[in-house]
Formats: sequence, C-alpha cells, structure tokens
Amino acid sequence: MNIFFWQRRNITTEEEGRAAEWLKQNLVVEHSRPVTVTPQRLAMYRHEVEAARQAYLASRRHAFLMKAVGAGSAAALVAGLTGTSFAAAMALPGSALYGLKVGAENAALALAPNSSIRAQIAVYLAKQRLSELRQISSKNRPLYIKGVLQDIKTYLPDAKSAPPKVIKELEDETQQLEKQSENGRPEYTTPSEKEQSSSGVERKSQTMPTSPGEQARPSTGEGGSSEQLSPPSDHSNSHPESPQQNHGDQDTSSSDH
Amino acid sequence: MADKEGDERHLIDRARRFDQSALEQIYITYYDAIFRYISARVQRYEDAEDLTHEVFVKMLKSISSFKYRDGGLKAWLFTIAKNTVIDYFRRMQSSEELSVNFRADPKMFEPEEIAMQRLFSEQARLALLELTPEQRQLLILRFGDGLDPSEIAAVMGKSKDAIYALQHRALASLAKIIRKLGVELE
Repeated sequence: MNIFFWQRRNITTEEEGRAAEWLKQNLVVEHSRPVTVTPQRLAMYRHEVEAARQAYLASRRHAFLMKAVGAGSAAALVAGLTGTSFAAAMALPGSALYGLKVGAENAALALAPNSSIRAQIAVYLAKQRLSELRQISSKNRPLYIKGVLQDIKTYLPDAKSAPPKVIKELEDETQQLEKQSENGRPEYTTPSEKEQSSSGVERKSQTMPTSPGEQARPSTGEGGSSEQLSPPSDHSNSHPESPQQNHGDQDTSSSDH
Repeated sequence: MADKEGDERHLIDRARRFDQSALEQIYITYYDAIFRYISARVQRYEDAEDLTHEVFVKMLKSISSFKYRDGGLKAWLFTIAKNTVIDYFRRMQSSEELSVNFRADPKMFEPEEIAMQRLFSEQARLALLELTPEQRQLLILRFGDGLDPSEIAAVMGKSKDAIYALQHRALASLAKIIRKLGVELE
C-alpha cells in the first residue's frame, strides 16, 4: 500500500494516459494471415450446432418424460418419446400409419430409462393394443388381430414390475382374446365389461366373423341379436368390410398364416 | 448501450434455444476477437484455429445454462478462451512438442505471460515485467487484447470497480517504470 501511495504521489493522470498510449504503440502485430471465418470452419461449426441442438432436444424430451413420470402419465410419456403425429397416434391396425405408430411406441419402450418406467409404458401400450382390438372388432381382420395379440404378449415381460393385479388383468384379457381368436369368434370384453354383463347390464356385444360351420355360443349380453355373436356360417358372414364375404375368415386367416 | 445489451440478451435467448442463425451470428461476430486472443498465446496458427473452434464448441455445450452478467457474451467467451489456452498448455506439457525451456518454467504456461512475449516490443515487455502479475494481466487484456473494463472484470473474476482501481494503479506504476527506463513520453 505504501508503494502504491509513493507511486501515485509522483504520477499525474495525464502521465497515466501517456503510459497507456506508449503501451499501445509498443504492440507487435504478429498475424501475417487474415483472420476470417472460412467456409470450412463455418461448416464444422454448423455441424457442431446441429449436434448440440439434437442433444438439447433430447435433454428436453428427457425432462418432459421425467415430469410425465412424476405425474404418472404413461400416455404423455409415450407421446413425448415417440413424437408421432395425432393422425398416426389414432391409427388402427390395418391403416397405413399403424406400423409407424407401433414402431415408434416400441422404440419408446426401448428408450425407457429404467424398469419402473418401462413397466408403465408396457402396461399402457398393452392397454392401447387391447383398446385397438376392441375398436376393430367389428371389422373382419383376423390377421391384424393375431398380430396385435402377439404385440401384447411381447409387452408383458416388460410390464412385470407393474402391480400384479394389473398384469393379471392384462394376461387374462389377452388369453381370452387369443382363445376366441383361435376359435374364430373373438368376443371383446374387458374385465369391467364382464362384470357389467354378469350383473345384468345390457351390453351390445361386438362381433367378429367366425370360421365356417362353427357352433354358436351364447353371447354375454342379450341373446338373439343379429349383431351379437351369432354363429356365422359360410353364408352368414355378411360384414360390409369383409374382403371375402362368402369364403369365411377361416380361409383368409389360414392363408395369411 | 441499453439497446446493445437488450439486443445481446435477445441473441442469447435465441442461442439458448439453439436457434441456428443466432449461434452463427455469435460465431461470426466473436471469431476474430477470440482467434486474436488465442493466437497471441499459441505458437502455431493451426493450433490457434483449432482452439478457437474448441471455444465455440464449449460455448454450445453450456449456452443453455449461461446467465447474463456484466461484460456479456464477449467476456464469457474470453473466459472460455482463457481456460482453453490453459488446458492446451497442460496437454502440451505432457507431450514432446513443448520445448525443454517451457517445461522448466511453469510460469511460461500463464496465457498472459505468453501473450506478453508475443504482443509487445522488447522495451514494453521489460516494463511489464516490473509490474505485479495481476497488473500485468490487466494491461495485457486491456491494451493487448482490447477488452473493456467490464469484460476484463469477468475474465479476471473481479468487480468492475476493482478493475478500474487496479488499472489506475497499474498505469501509475507503468508511468513510473517508463520514467525509470528513461523513455521520453510524448
């Protein structure tokens, strides 16, 4: 501190300014080449920007997922991971976008950061597939049904850390649908619908075409309706969307498989 | 001034969202200054180019968490550049590329000490060596690299007021040294 005051005593502000000027004049400029951003350097930088942008988007997606997990929303989780459009998200088996949707959802399952989240997604996806099956149940699409059932089975091992009751429900429903599909007469009822029907609530069951010559089974709801699981014969398969109305589904599915 | 700061804040906001044009604008605006800072401390032109690129890559990695402070983006980039140069010399220290003399004197790794060798004439170097390391660093950043006090404050991790006081003392000391060396100031 003493040195500082000793120096300051003898130096004026004007002298300080001149010292600064002297220092500037004693600068040696050593750059012989011009300093410019070359196109190559800019291209390299753009590449880095793109990589950083992707990493940023991935981290935001991850943050969103963690939020969704916190909120217990597997649907938001899958939506965040897949980023599929609304049209694709609503696609049903047999539509052009369905493969895209399932592929993205399966990728989302693979991207799940831990087993708990994976289980949540697997249960959600299994329920989604069952819901899709119910939606297409009125259409004559046995091949798609078998494919979707297969998908559901692949989700079950991933769902093993979900609550046992949920897994049991999924397994039971899948097995039931599988049996019915093998018999050619899938009857799409969820466990809750079953409870409703057993308690006497009138339910309008949906039909699926069955194999020719198969015996009719009593439907779970009101019997006798033509929309219910009537025993379709070779001649009774009259679904408007059936591609081979008079040949029965057995033929279609057997040729498909 | 306020407009400039507002514009820069807006630019940083866009850059934080990885807006490509904002990030390119930052690169093109500051490339020259950062390159000059680094090339004053690094021997090879190619190394200076690579290190400048490294500075901007580091910027990309941490831009999303950047908080605007005094000195703004430029000061932040210079801080990254300074650390990049220090890392470079640390890497070089273990390699054969660095001369024996350099390895023998750890002081030579200080970016500002190297800049002094590269930026100033022999007479100015002798004068600067008489100052304290802190005063020397400030004068090199101020007159060699052309940073303003708020940018120097960010690079040196001090307040702007402290930098003004330090600069005052450094110039007073320098004037005294110049007088001692017998140099006539115009």
